[in-house]
Amino acid sequence: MSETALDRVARALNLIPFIANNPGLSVVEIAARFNSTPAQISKDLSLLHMCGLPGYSHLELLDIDYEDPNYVSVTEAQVLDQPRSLTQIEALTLVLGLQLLVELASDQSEAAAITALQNRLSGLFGEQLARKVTITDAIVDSPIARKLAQAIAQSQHLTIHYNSASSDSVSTREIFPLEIFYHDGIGYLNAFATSAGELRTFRLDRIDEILVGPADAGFLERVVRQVPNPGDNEIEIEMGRDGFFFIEKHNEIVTSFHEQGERFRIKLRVNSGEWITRTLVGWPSPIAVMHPADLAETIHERIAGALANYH
Amino acid sequence: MSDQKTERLINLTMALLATKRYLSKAEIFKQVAGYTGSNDTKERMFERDKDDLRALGITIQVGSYDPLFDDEPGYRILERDYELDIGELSATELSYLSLAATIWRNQLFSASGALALVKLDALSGTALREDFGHATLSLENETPLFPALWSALTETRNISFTYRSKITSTRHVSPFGLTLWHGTWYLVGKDLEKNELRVFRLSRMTSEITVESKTGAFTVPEDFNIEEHLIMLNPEPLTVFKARVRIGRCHSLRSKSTVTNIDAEWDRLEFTLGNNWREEILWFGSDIVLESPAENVAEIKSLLRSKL
Repeated sequence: MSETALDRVARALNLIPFIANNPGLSVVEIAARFNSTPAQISKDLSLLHMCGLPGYSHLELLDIDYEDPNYVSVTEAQVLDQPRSLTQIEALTLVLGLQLLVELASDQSEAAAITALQNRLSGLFGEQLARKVTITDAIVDSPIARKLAQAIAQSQHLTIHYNSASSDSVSTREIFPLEIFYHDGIGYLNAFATSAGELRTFRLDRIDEILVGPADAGFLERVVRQVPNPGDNEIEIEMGRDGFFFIEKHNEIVTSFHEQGERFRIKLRVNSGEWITRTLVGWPSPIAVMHPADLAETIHERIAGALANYH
Repeated sequence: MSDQKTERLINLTMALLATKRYLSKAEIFKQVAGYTGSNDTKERMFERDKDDLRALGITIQVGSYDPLFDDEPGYRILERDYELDIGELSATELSYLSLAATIWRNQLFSASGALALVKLDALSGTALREDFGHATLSLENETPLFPALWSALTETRNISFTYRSKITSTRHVSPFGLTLWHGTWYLVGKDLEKNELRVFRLSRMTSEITVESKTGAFTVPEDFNIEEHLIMLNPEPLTVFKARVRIGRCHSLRSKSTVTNIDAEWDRLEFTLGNNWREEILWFGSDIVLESPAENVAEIKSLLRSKL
């Protein structure tokens, strides 16, 4: 995406106070923080080098030292030594982020401290911020989520009792938790399943029990990052107008779709055959599996078997 | 994109910040680097530059630069408008704010969180701190309409959009509030055709947001509370079910049921489900046989037939 002069001005005005208060970062580090490229940051710095206050002698210009790209500093920031105030969306992001953190807080006093900070911040931006945008229910309000968040923060191995829906069985798993995420109102955990040696996704509400194991800060780099992604299967289905809701619910596995009149043709990528089988059997309207043929057959048998129960 | 324009805007910002009194246009043209050409050209340049700085969220104060002759306006930027001021922050509070900024994986919020974090780090000089391990939360997919809805909301403007529900139609709405519920963004607002409060899921809006009024088009009632409306408008009917399930199967259902044994092959379960009862039952295929309520059993049977 091409950037406008305004985007550049906004970044430049943020660059000076950031570097002035954090001297000694490299151009590469700065670029990473500003979601930009080192080449762009270098250009910004040489442009800023020409800016300053009326008079524009060496006394009034910004003084930036970027000769050594590994050590950038601002020796004279003039009036730009303090960061700009937060925009409404930035403030909102922090206020909502704090609201989520309250749910993950380890104890009452931490929750109270975060809530106080949240109130202070939304107070600065007027009452309307807090009143107009909210998080309605405690989406992470579960003791399990809280325990997992702590384990992630401390790089701890865990043993969990898990009710697997796709294999419909309860088992004990050794895992290394990586990330909690929410999709369509349901909380999930991405974790490395140590015994299987694979990345797996677990539903929070199907984890019964958690036993905390040893901390291992290097595990992520040493083991998890070395595992290749599992080969995914491509699936194509066709369904009626509620295909829109199917896409909405499962957008993380939808790779493409076509809408033709009242019909949807949807392509998916999944790595668990049992999961997709149950999901398609469970969808409350007819779905035709176009590809692969063996999945179409399995689903047909499964539905026929369920129907046979009622005769 | 021109370097000259970027440079001029930065110089203008700095000059207006540095001045202790209002600067007239003539002073700005004379002192600030980058204003060249005829007077008309400079005037046009300056008008655009003011708009641009305002678009960046910078407040320019307009006042009289000469108390005796107030016919010509002067301009300046006040430090208290421009600079970030959250007051004293402890190291712990700062780390909470940093976490709050980085907890998002959604595009809009992770981008604005990254910008907020850059400002926080400029405030405290802690950009080199150790990377803290923490849980990230990714909410729904993307929310490209959020900024447009947010400005309509704060500016109290009526809007319209195409909404996909049982039927797709254009809705005209006074936006009252946005809320994140079950990891999904919803807009609560007054549907101007139905003259009633309605809840809209952002992911079901299939057009851009069209602004349909000036600011101040409505007032949100004093006692309006997003949570209450959302819960009131979305009551979830719960139904008690009875079913036979195979022994050793349907684990996630068993954990919320009362279980009685029937024989060596089957148990009987009694449980409560909400709107998604069809999916929950069908998920278990032939390991479950629904027994009551009768109308739900009939529906499952016809659903299975239609899916065959």
